[in-house]
Amino acid sequence: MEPDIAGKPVAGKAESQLRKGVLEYCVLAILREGPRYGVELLETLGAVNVMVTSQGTIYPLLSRLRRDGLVETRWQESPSGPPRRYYELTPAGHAALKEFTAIWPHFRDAVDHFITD
Amino acid sequence: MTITEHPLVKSYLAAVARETAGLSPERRNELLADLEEHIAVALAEASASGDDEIRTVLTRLGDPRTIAATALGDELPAPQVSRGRTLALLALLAATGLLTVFAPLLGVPALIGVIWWLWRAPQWRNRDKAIATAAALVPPLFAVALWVVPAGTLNFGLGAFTPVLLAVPALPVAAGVYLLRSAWRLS
Repeated sequence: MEPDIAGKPVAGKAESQLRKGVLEYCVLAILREGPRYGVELLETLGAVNVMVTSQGTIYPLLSRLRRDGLVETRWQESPSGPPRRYYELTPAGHAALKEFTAIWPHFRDAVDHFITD
Repeated sequence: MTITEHPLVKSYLAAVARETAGLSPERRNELLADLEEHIAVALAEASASGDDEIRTVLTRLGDPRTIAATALGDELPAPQVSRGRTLALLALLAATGLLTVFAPLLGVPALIGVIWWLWRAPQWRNRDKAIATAAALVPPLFAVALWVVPAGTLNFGLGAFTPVLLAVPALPVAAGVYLLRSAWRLS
């Protein structure tokens, strides 16, 4: 364990570790509803407090999803402001989301099993 | 003025660029373009362009270091390069650069070898390598110039010649120091 220099409570660390593992699947799940651009995606994620603390970190994540072939991007003009870069699920993205959706309940139950008195 | 030219936005993006020096240029440019678009879109949607609104958007984007750490975390871990190897490479570069002046037959092949090693080394960006290569080529080019130009015609007096003589070895040394700083900053 590395020392917590920022002096944050341990809960913050656990939360950030968990977020690291599941955030990309939350992004894929939001994109299941249809293509979204960055700001839009962040608004949806931001509606649930724990998911994003620093909005900018979503972009390296989206870049990785694109390089891994889970999402595709395209630019679309907008009546206000610059063209938006839209992110859209690929078949591989759908498959990854499906796999996660199947694993998650077991995972959640297993954790509950251990941490519940 | 477009929003990316606003001083607050410029300095924010410059900070991200600085912190992501270790990323490949392609990844880095993509990240900067994404953040630039985010800022422009967020402000356009809020129909705002005042300093306070810009600050709010940038604060919500988060600390450039946090964003850089996320981006760098996705990159393959940078190869670990020992300081000894870095120092050895730089010393050889300077030494062979000078050797080309005094013993061209020995120095030129050696310098080519060291430059080849330099371009294969992972600890510098291509721009730094280009600067170092140019500086290391100064002594041999100077030697060639002295040899090609007929004796006597280059006689522009000792007063002017001395600074040139001093500059020839100084350039590779300066390049070595520059590369050393650059390698330690990036690692």
